[in-house]
Amino acid sequence: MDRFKMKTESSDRIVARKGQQRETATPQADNLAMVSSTILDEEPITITRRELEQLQQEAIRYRTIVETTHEGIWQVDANYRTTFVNARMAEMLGYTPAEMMGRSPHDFLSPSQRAERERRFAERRQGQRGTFDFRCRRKDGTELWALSNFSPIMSAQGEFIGAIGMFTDITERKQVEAHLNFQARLLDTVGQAVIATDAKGSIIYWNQFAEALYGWAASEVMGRPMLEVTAVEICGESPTPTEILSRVCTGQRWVGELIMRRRDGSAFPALVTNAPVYDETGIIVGMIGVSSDITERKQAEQRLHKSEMLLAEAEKMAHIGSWEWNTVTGDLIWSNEIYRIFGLAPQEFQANHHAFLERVHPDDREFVQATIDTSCQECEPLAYEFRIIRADAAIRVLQSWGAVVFNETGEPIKMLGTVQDITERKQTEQALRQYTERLRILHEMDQAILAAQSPESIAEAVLYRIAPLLPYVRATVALFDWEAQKIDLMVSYNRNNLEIMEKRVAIDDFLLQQIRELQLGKVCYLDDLSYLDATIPWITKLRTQGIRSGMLVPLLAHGELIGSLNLWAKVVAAFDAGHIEVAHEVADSLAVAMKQASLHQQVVEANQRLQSISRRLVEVQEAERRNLARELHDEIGQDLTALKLASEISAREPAQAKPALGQAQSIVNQLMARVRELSLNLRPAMLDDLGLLPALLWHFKRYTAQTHIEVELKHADIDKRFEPEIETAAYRIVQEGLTNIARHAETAKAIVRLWSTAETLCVQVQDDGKGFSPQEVLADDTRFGLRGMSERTLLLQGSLVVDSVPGGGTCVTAELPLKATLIPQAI
Amino acid sequence: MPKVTLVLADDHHIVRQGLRAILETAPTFDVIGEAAHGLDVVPLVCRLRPDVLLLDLMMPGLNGLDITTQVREQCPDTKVIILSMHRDEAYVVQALRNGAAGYVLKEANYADLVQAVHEVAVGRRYLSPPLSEESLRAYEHRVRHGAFDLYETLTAREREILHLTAEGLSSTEVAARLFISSRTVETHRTNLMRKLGLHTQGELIRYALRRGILPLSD
Repeated sequence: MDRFKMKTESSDRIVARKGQQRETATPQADNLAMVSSTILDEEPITITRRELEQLQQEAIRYRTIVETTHEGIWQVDANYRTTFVNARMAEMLGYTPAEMMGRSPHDFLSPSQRAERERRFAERRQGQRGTFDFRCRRKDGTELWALSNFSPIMSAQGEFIGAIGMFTDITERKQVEAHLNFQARLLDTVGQAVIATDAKGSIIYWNQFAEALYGWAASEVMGRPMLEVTAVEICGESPTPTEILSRVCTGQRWVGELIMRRRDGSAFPALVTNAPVYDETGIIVGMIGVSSDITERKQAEQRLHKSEMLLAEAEKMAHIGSWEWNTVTGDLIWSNEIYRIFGLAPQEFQANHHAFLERVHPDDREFVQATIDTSCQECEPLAYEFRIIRADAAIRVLQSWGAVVFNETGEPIKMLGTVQDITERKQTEQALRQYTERLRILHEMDQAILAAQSPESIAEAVLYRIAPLLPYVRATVALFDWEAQKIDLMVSYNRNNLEIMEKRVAIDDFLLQQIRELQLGKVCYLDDLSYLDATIPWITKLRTQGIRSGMLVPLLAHGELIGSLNLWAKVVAAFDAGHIEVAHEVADSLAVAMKQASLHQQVVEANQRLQSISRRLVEVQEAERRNLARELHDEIGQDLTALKLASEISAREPAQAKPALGQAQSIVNQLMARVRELSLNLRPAMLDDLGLLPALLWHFKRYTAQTHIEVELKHADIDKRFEPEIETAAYRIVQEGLTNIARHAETAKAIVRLWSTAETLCVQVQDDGKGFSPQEVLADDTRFGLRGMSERTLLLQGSLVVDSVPGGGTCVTAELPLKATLIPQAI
Repeated sequence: MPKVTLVLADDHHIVRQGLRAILETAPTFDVIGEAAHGLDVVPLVCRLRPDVLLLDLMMPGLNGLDITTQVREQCPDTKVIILSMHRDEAYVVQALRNGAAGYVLKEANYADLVQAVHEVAVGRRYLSPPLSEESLRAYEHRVRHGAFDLYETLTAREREILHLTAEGLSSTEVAARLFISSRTVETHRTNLMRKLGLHTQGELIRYALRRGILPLSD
């Protein structure tokens, strides 16, 4: 049986049946062979009658067996000719035994089997037994399948003398097998894995799709426990595989999703149907399972789930809520986000139209209702903005869109829509509009500043341009004059033609207090003038004009407070933080522009001064040349003529030589004095030979002699030499200063101070004379003394300070840096 | 009585000739050398070692004042007489300071020059009239008298700021106190420190203590 089982590839159950058959068949065949060999052995033997009788009875018994057995018996000789067939064998083939005698079995074989015959017969000749399916053709042409079992018949000498075979008709079984094969192939065409197990759970069937799905070949898994092969995982709420199995064993079907595992270890979700398999008697003999891969469906489900999540998330992030309103039943469904937009907890109550309207801002309620009604009636899309009052009393602006949904018959059944909180957007839009407007005006202001020429026109341009940005009725640009402790009010902008204020105001204590704040860059905000000191005239004046509040904005140019922008309004606390910010911005532009304009004016003025100085220098040079020419010609020339005459006389008339020579000597002395004087007037040699101090002392002596003005020299640390150009400059500055004193100061005394530090040489010329206004003098094109000093100082990168007030004397101080590099004169 | 040996130094040939003519009329004088260029004078004097050098103040190459200094250093036995057209005390003082023994004006007469050589040769100082020791003393006094304190150069505003700054107030505080902009304060402070030759706040405070602007004990 074991051997047989090894040869078959059919199912166990089929094997079991065959086994039972063979168990009975094989001993018969063995016995028969033994009997046959006894019969065919024709050796002469001597036997007794009794023995003969026994033998005859035995032979009858065997013959009876042979003729009555259900198996066919077929014997051939060594030449493959039929020597015996029993009745059953002949019947199986539809012949009589007589018809078959002497013929070769070959004649009865199916054509497809004939090739095999030679090989099998050869096996018999060699004494081998053989079992095989014998496919024959019956006399009526139909096919007979027989299981045959051939044994060789050998003589006593071991010679092959024939073979005998036992045949069982298996035609019917073959047909069943073919049918089963068809069914099995049928299952292979199913697009799902079909797996059958026996009652113990071992795999007995594994279709082609199962091979593809699980990666196992049927041959690999046959007989193995199914749970081990498919390695089912428990997923979620599914029962364990064991539970499923036990459920199926009690006759229940189980349908559900399981995570299965492929041969390569990868897992996949599967939809599984498990059902019991019953035999004819109704006993559960196994289980059949059908499984299919639902990965794609799972993924689709997950995608769906994810997109739902995303939608909710997106609603939350965009602050967009969605609603659905059944216009027939009046049911209203709000998404979580709508509840949040209304300041409520998600799904805090069952939304309804009435509750919605209640939360709409009272002023907007009518409009909202009308809009919705219209949309419903006209079946038109809904799009509108409205305000709500949130649970926390905050007013929010919402925007809602909606569309009517119709049924198949075209009747409106519901509205779907979204709602979004656009409060921030609205605010941003508003702020953006304001900001854009502000930028535009500031830009215009900057353009106007560029076009303006003077500080006055700049201030005017600014004050008139920024009016739309700030709620003022009067605006002033005030410039501080620190030295004079006054404020100059440059321009007034008057929206209501208010009375013009004075142009120049003294800095009082109150203003000083404000200025101190302004110096720190702070805006002085006077939110109610009625609280201020009524004794200050300008405040009183503003109040009588109806001014109630104002602010002073610092004009800081590169950190220096040059003045303030003063804005006044007719209401209390007219300016808010936004206004202050704008005012700051305006003031910053204004301050820099005004500072630049005044610097520009200074440069222009300096250029004009320089030009007139150049002219003056040429004039001075010409005048000096004229003087020199006159001196040489009129004075020295005269002396030389006289000298020539004297020497001619002494040469021509010896008698008069002595007095003539005496005259000549006195002319020469006069000439020497004149030349020395001329030379010293041009430039004292002493300045080069001995330095500044002796040269100045010499100059003072001459100066006092000429002007009767006493000069007191005070000096510190100048008992040394400096660079020639510095000594020259210092000398000339003192000279010019003293000349000015002699011309204008109307005094009898002057003080000259000279001192040096490691870095500078300073000269100071002071008098207690009548003084003057330096601004006026410096601005006067016809007066060059001070400007000449100033230019000389600037050339050495020094500085000149003219300190004078009418009636208060004058003090001119020049500081000359010792290590200055000369400004290149020409490039 | 040994003759007084002389060297003449003047860039004008005619002047040297005139001088030689004048001096050689005196029997006790012996002119032993002449120099026409400033740079030749010192080597010549060192070689000839005359008793007296008659030296023009204005020499090309090296001026008379500097030659005097070098001669006094390298040849201390030679007395120097400066010949000059400058009658200003400043020149005289400088010449004497450099070691000259006599100062004779070029416009002086014959007797004046001879007397100068005589006086100098015996070790006395000689100045030709109208120069005198008194006028020199008056000049020196004038120079010395002029010395003054730098503090005087400060303006009233600068003095205020010096005081307040020395007391330890910041620019902003000073500005608030004086009702001027802090930028103005900075400018004044920079100016006054430059005038006084001060560079740091520490130097400013030391100066204030030294001047008695700040009391030493609090």
